[in-house]
Amino acid sequence: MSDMRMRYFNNLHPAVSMSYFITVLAFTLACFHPVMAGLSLMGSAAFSFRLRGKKAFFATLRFIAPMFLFIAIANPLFNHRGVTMLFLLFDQWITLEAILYGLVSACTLCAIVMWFTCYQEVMTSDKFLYLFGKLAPATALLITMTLRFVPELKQNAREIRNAQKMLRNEDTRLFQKLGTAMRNLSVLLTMSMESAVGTADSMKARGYGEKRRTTFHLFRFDGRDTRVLALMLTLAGICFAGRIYGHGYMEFYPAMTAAVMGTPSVTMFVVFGLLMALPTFLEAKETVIWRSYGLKS
Amino acid sequence: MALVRFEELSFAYPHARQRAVDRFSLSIEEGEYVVLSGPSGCGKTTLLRHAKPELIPAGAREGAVYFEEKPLGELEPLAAAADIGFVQQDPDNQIVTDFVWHELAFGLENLALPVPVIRRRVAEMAAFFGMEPWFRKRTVELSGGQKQLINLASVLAMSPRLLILDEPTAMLDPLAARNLLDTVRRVNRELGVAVLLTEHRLEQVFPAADRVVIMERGRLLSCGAPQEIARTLGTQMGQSRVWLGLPATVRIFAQLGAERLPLTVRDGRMALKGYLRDKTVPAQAESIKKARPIKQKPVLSAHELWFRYGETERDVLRGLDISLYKGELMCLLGGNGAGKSTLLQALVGTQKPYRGKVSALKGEKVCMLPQNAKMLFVTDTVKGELLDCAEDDEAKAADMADRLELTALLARHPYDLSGGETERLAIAKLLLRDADVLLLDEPTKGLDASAKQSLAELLQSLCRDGVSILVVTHDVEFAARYADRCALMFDGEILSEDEPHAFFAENRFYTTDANRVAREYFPNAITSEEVIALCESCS
Repeated sequence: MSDMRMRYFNNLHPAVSMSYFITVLAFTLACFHPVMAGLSLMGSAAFSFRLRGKKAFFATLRFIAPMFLFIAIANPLFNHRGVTMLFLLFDQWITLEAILYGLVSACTLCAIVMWFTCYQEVMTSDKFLYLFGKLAPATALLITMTLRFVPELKQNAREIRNAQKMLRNEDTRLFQKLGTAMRNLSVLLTMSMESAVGTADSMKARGYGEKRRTTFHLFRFDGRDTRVLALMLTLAGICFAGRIYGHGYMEFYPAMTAAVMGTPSVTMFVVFGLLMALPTFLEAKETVIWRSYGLKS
Repeated sequence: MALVRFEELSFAYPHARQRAVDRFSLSIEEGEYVVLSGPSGCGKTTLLRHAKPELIPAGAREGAVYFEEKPLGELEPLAAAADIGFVQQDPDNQIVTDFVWHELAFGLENLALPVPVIRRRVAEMAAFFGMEPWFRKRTVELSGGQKQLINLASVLAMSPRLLILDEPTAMLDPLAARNLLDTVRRVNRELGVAVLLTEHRLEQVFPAADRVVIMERGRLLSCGAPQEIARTLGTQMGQSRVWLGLPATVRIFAQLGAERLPLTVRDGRMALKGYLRDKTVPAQAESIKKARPIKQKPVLSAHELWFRYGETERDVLRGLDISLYKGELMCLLGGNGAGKSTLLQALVGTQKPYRGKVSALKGEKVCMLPQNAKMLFVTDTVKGELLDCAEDDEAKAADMADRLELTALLARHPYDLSGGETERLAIAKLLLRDADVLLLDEPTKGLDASAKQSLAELLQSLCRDGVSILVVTHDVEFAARYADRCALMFDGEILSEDEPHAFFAENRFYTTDANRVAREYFPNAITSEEVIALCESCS
């Protein structure tokens, strides 16, 4: 929360960011095609890098890369469908179709994971609650309370452990360790229950439970949201039409269908690429503007 | 028409032998600032809860409470929630949601107000309290003082006409406490909200209050303007436990038999000038000093400690040296963030300094009493707690109970003890574990004056038995009165340390009220008793 970098996409209305993520995920899943999967992966990786910084991005990469390799290699090893036989490995034919299918699957899956890392960064709990809180205000409040409670619980647990060290010598034997842990846990529970009584009082004192409550939020749907939403819907609309007419999708088994079917396919790739690059582009634009301010002053 | 009126209210908790509130009558007018005071356990909280319909406790009740001449029970629930605001003691557990802005809106959401209205009210509150810098922060990231301000603001956002605060500063350090009380005063003056407040720090609220109500054993003892109350208590000095909690200026001048009792340090200085006008002050007022304990090898010492919480974080301790000697009570003073609590953790070994060394004399066990002493409690009776640490040796436990005056409380649940009793039980547990050196973190927080005194007496008697005690505290009066040695910590270092009289005489601002009043004449006098004695010696 303390990060004050310019965040264009983060500051959009939650409904806009949510629709973007839903659109992107839907197309990534619906368009099983090497170009589309590649574009989605590139778009998500660029956005994730931009949003979360180098360190967090490479941390994700460290577990995504093995996953990519695993799927890409496992598919041709275990799947022998396809008509273009390349070579024999352990008496099994390795086919071109299976290799390509594996690569596209790996791309798609990695893209989805990448988009989720972005989703987590953008759709914080308050945004999620704003979007879905209206359906179930009580549940929304419960989630909010839990989000407050958990860090406090952790803090208390640490302090209790330190306090109890004064009374008991830390034992390294497993059984004794378990005993100490149980003891600390019971202290934590008692304390939490006591504090819950205070919380309940404070809620009652402020009129909780008298009426169906409103859910307050700080979001405003402004002109920028309208513009981004319009742009996004236009791009998504074109892709949708393209997908209906069979562009941006391939069958692999038994034989591959055509990957590119004339100009409409190419148009669709370009439009889809724009859609994937949209958030990164919006963020980058912001940075450029700030740099130009820097030059002026 | 009174805003709220208690009429012959009596109340007893189920199975209680005594009434918690006994035939209590009081009326509070619109916009009044009333301070309710009394020793802990005198029924203040029970009384306050009777003025808030949602929080009225269950039990046997007689008499009635009226809000604008309507019985409290007949108020429309949402109106009652909005009109009467209630702030409790604990800053943490009153907070419900995870963001500051959301917490401010919580009550308004319950009133089912539309979002634009809430937005405006929340903005107004944040501006009034100067909360804009932390408006979008998570509530867990805030300090205790900030949390309590949010609790207050969140209640005020509902625009109450009566604001009830139940010892709101009990868990805060003095600086945060002063800030909160100043804000309450502003709310009263600038918004016209009536305030009913219980508070131990009378020197803070005395000058601000319109009326002070003294309560003892569930009854109204006296009620009137602060001046009158000071005079009434002054004439029957020492008879009421509340006396000890009065501002030092009041105590000094009541004892000197002054006509008008000054409530602030400024007035106290003027009054002293008047008092000493036709008297001769001895040229060199006899300097008072406590005997220093003979210096032997320190039982616990730290040499050039450096500490930080993470590799890239700032240094919290910067080459700090400290020594604690056998059988002494040492007070470590200093502002917030000076690193006092961190130092205690380093001394007891729960945090490891990255340079420097902590060494305890062989065979001396160092124990720390956590700020929240309840963290040491594991059973459901006081007796059980003692036995837990005495290896089920009944005699040993009974002995300790006797020594720490816990015998009458053996059957009670540890969570039902008052603040002072909680501290005593925790200390008993540590002593049963053969603690030789006690480190105490803010033990006087939330204690009333008489509980503070009995805790101090206990600590002093432990010191006589050879226990060495290091107390981290913000409480200047406590340190001045009871410490053998005081040290001032600032920015991760010990700046000065000395015997209390010399220590405080050197300070200009960081000193006791009694010293502030009298330092022109008696620079060495730091407690009100010393000032009184010196004044009386002048002829």
